[in-house]
Amino acid sequence: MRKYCLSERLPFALTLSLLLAGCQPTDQDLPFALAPGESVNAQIGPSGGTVTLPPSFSLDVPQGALTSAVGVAVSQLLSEAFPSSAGLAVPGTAYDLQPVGTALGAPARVEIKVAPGALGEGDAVVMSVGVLQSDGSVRTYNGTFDATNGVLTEEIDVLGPVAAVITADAIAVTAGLPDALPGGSFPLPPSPVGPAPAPGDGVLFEANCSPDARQCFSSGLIRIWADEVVRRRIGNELFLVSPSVEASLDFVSYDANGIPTELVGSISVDGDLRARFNSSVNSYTLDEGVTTGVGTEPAPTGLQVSGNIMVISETTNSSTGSIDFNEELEFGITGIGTSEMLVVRLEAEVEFGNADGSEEIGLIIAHVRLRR
Amino acid sequence: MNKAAALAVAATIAVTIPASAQMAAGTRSVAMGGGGMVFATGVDAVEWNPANLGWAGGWNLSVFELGAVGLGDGATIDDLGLIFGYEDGDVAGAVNGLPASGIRFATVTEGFATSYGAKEASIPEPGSPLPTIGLAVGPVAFRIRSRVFANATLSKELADLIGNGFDQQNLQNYAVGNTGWRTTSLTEYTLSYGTSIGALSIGVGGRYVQGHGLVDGRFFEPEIDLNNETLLIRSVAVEAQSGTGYGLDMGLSIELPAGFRLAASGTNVAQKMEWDDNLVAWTAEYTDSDFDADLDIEDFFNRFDDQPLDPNGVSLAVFEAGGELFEQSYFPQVYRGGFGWQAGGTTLEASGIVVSPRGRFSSPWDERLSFGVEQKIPVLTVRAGYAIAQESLKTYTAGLGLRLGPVHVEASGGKFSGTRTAGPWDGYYGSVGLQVKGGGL
Repeated sequence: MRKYCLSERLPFALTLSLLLAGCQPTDQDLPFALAPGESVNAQIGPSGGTVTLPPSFSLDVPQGALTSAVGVAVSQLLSEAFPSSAGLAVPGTAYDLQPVGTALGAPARVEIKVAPGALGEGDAVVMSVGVLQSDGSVRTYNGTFDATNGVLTEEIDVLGPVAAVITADAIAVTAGLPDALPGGSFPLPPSPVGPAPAPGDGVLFEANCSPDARQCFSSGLIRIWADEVVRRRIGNELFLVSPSVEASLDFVSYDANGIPTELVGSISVDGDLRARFNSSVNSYTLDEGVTTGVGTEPAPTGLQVSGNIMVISETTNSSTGSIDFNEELEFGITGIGTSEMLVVRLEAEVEFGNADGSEEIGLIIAHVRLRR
Repeated sequence: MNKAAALAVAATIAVTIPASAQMAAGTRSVAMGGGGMVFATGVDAVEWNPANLGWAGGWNLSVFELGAVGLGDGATIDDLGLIFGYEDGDVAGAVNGLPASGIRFATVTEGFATSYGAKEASIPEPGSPLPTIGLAVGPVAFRIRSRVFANATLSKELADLIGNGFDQQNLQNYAVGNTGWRTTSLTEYTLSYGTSIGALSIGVGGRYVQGHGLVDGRFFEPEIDLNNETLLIRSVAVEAQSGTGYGLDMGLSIELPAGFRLAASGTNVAQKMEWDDNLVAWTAEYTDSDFDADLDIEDFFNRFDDQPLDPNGVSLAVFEAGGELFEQSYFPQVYRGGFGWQAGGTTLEASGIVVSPRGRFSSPWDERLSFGVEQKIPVLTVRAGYAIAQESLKTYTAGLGLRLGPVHVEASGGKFSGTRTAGPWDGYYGSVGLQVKGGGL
């Protein structure tokens, strides 16, 4: 019987081992992997459903959002620019979501993946979901952004082409507290405004600005400050996005010195306060306002003026949320050409709870400019 | 215990990720610093070197074997005990001492015992693994082995939330970062054979793998309600609930003069694992109050709702959680080389282990140099070992065996340690087993 020699078998074994070692294992494919450029169609009915374009887009329609079955189609807009007056679309985040204009009875959750390199410094805080409407306008929704996973999430109530948009109308919240308001005080300067109003003459200051006319805010109609407490509690990257202001202040009576004694009107500031919390961006709906009188409709009420401080006798706070404007309004009046500009300082205290049950008070201050 | 502790504990222990089988397999190997491949016999040879089956005759029945290994990366076990509320002390100090990148855990536990423990704790069981048993008769051995692997990562900020509870004043700092987990549960059926040719013995092993579950989960950054100063954290996991695969092992052993032996072996030199495409998505939500109230492990798991995953309707969160489910979900290819000496009742072994490709079922202790000594004295077997692995990870081990005729009862354990800039290594492992041997083994 032949005796096997170690030197004969060892090379064979080593060669076999090396050959087997060369069989590199491969990854198993996921069942929902899609090739780039593929589109997806899904029938979604009253029971709801999800349509997805992995790995970068999904729309979760809840039960009851649709009253009948709708064929929802989504495809990535690879070459076509996303038209947006709302701001700059983030590259690679535009999707054609059809059928355009389909209203949803309950909000649908849209999730968009945003590549880390697609965002500039600070962009994450002012990024919104823009939905192109049937009339060509773009409506923005301010949701949350998970910076770790790069997922922008928001609930929308109408279908249409969507994109992550760097909001154009964001107002950066300034650190610290503003200087005292410039400008004079009543009575109004005689020139170039003209003669001081006689008692009983109304001097109306008003403004109305909404996201539909975004650029009005870039003229400095509103500016916001937050003190150290607010910034310490909710961060240094603070923006007011989708802002709007509605104000109408009518000084309806004056004393013998031309100092107003009665006021009717309201002033409100709306928007989404966006704050970065470590690795996530969250929105806080700012809906703050003051109406003169005790009802929901403005009613004439007494006014005391001392220097550039106006103290309103009766006001109704129309705010929602935890921020309330004070009833004392600081103001300044400046003559510009043939008109005057009234700058009103709104001061709001923000209550923050502590773990021991105590509270810490922060200040948010807004300057709102009104012309007449 | 801090309820939210359940969160991390659950994600860490009850579920487990694929680490290396090597360190936790066999009481003899554990006691010898994760080595012992040169003179492993009987059922142990199935794992370490099938060529050794070609040397010895006799028979060997492994009645049971329980083993577990846990390694913390970036925190000591004491720190983890403080953070999760198992120990009293300076929680804030423990959290502050964690590296900014967070901490990692890796565990491997015996599958049957883990499943039993999960059932008793009313938490999801990792499938239905069979008990770990084996039989070797002469040159042939068959082994059933069940394991549950788990890897988990926890951000420093979430560790703060778990350890210290929710604090509105800290709202600005909370983040989940890379917090997530991956678990795998499987049972392996391995048939090995060895034959000697003169001074050379070669061996081969074929393995069928039954997968009981592969889970990838993660947490998403908190959604913060500024009005009420609260937070909500979502967790999503994707699971493949079954799978099948195979692996091929090879080994050789060369007898040298004067009791010396040279050995080499490869595990999973050829392999394939295929998981079921019918995936299940699990989702859960936790609020700030969960981190202050008593959320135990059972509550933590029961918060998860499952639903079949429709490949045509996957939310982005589910995709993010499961997008890497199958990525590198193959077994590590492990190559070992060893040199040893045995005379009388004394055995000395030194071995080196390399792993390539590593896959995601590997652990920091996989690649190492191990040194072990074994001394048989009447009725008892005493063992000790030392190993050095990557990034200064080292381990000291010891074990004791009691031989009552053919019945061998063995226990062993060890401790991981190591210091580096990214934080400490710290962990333990242990193994107990009962074997019946005869015919000279």
